Amino acid sequence: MSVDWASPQPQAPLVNPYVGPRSFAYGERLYGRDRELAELSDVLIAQRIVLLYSPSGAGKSSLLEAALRPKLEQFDFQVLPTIRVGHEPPPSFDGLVVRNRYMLSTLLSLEEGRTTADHLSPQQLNEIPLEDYLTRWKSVLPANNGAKSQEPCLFFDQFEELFTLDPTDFEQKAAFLSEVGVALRDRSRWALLAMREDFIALLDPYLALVPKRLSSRFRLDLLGVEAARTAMRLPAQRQGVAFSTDAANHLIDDLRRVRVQRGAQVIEELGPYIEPVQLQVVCRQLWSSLIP
Amino acid sequence: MRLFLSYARHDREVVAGLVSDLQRSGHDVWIDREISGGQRWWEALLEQIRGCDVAVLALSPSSAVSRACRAELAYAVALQRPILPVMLHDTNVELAPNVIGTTQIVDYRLRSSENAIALISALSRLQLSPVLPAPLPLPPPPPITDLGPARETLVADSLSYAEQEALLGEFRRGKDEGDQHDTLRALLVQFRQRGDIIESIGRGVDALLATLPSDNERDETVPRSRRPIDQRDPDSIDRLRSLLTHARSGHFVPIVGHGVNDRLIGSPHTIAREWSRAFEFPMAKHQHDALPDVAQFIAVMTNVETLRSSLGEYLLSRLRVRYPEVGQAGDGLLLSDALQLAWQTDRSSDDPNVVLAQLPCRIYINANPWGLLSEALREAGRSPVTDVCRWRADVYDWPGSIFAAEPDYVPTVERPLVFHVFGSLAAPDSLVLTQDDFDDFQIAIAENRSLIPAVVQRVLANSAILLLGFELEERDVRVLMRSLIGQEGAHKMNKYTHVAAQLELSGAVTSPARAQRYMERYFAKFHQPSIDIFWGTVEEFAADLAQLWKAGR
Repeated sequence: MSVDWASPQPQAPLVNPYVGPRSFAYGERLYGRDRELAELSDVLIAQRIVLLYSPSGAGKSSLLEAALRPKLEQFDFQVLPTIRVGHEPPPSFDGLVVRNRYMLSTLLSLEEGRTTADHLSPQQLNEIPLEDYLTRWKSVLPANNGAKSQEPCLFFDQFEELFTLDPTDFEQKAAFLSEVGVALRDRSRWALLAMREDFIALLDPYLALVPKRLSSRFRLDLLGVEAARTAMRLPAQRQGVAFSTDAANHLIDDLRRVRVQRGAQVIEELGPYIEPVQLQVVCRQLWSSLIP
Repeated sequence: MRLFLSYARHDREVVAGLVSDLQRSGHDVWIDREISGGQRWWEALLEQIRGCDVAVLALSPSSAVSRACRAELAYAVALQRPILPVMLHDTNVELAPNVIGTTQIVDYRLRSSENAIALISALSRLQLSPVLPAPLPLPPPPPITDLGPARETLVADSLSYAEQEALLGEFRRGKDEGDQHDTLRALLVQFRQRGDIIESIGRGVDALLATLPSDNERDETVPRSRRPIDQRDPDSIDRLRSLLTHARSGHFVPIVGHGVNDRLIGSPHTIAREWSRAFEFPMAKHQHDALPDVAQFIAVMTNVETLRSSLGEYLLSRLRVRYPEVGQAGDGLLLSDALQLAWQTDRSSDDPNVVLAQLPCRIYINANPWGLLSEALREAGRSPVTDVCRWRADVYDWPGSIFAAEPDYVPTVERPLVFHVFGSLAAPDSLVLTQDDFDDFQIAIAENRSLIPAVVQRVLANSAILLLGFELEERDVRVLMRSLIGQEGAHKMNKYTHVAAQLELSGAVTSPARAQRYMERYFAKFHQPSIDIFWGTVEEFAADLAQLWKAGR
């Protein structure tokens, strides 16, 4: 396998453009997902509340932070800090009887977007309904967005945490989703819920609590071969380093090998998909080993 | 010289040649193009007679018996205006008003240069009398045959044979007045639809209807007088400007209805009326001009194939009759080609398709099955891509979609998407025609939003929209409003100006002013976004839009 140097050499020291095992962050450039980004943002803008689901490792978080968030900002949305429902409360909450763990986690996530001075006390945060919190958030919004009206958009990432942490608290989940549902009745608020597809069916008992019963859905697949090639080559190219086609194809074939049962035999075949996490890990290692 | 031309509507084609010859020899010709009778029209016309140097009478069998022509002529004589009769068709002069008998008649049965020269020299020999007599003679009343009594008889619960026969006689006499064919047609249709009409009288009515010029002929030969743009109120103009600003910034979606093509194929009401006659549609009268209702009947009583083929045949035969180019084109001509041919030969200077094709839109929603908008886009040097809504649940073989063939396709100004929401001729299964079709369409969209391409969903939630060529009280536009425009994410639509151009409501409406308010309320109240209604014709609107667009560049 070879990586060819392109000339002339850039002056600045080269930064490894592959993120490795973590997901892409806001401000980083995500490659190979333009098509999905276009369709997902179109559907979200039109349908207001969308459930995004995908196999584990397809890169939902990367798509949300590095692609969808900036895209929605272009369309004059104010995307609030990404919400997780599985955070444990910090020590300052010790001794407090938590009203709803999922809601408290949600509000703690949202508090990250505000200055410490504006933070609510643990007591207040424990009690305030989501609807009130969002109304309040709107009223304390700094006027840094000029005259443009910006609709808030909520990102719930790794929403499967609602089901993985405690399988027994049906009432807590229902109360939480009902509060989310009430807040989303306001048609000037948008929301994207992202979760692993193997948990989707567990939402069924709660669907009536959310407007439109989460009927707008979008499935994010693993990377196809063509998209994987783009995700592999373009980041290097931007640094003046060219991946040869052979090298890229070879690497992609390595990454998409799957085991297939044929009669009594199990053989290896080339599958249609690449896990983006694996691609990033391999490319990052490759880069550090080849480029000083 | 200022000439007043008195003529019968029936002769308008020959008259157009006469007018053009007179104008080319430097005369100022005033010719009445208004269809509607009425007091104000008549007064404006009399004003022209008072101001003319010569009254020219276009003599023909029709004008000889026309009440309007007689009244105009009598008034011109009373005002001591010189009269010049010009013979257009062989006419028994005995039938003509007396004054003609004593005057030299210019022969213009053949439009030739000799005859033109004779005409001009006859004009120059006339003794002009610039002074009007004082006091002015009393103006004659408007020459409208009184169909009022017939109208009242028509609504009686039952009519005897004698009464029906008398009515038919009155209508036959009324027909000689070319100026009220529209009223007459409406009354005849009403007559024909009576449950108690006697077979032989019914045939008489049909025969009489067949001799009336067809419904939309007036649209091609007698253009409605256009309201100049400076007569629109400043608010309206501001809204149009704001629409064009959105167009420049790429946030503008035109949604195009039947009205942009009515000039060629007639309105859906005309089609519905023709069909309800041909298929003996038995339902209540008000349904006879509702296309989805009549189409539903045909689909139920025959089948969908018959419905589609009879629509095709009807339109093709209509185009053949109206456009000689289409008539001469042979039997194998496809409807789509016939439409294009007709459109190429007959379009107004501000054809709505052409005007829309000038605007830098990435997406056009076409509620018509025809390809004229795409053709106009191609003429404008763009490469439109078309797609249809695949709403019919029991159809499995749809033509391929651009989004499947080219997954990375993004509509651009150069390659705009023309989305045929209610189907396209190229994919007959996609056509939404009957009431059931409209219901099924809505159900399908509600069940499966992805029947509308994501990018179309998005622009319909985040753009200024223009509804052009719809009748806002009709089914199609309501379905569009409920299933496409009023989406969950429509909140952002409040940022934009939205406009619907709407024809003035028809005379069948009992209280037009209240009906207008009702429409305006409907579009302001229940829907985000709120849509401003512009009252007027599609052509007027397109012309204004074109004018503002050119001025803004």
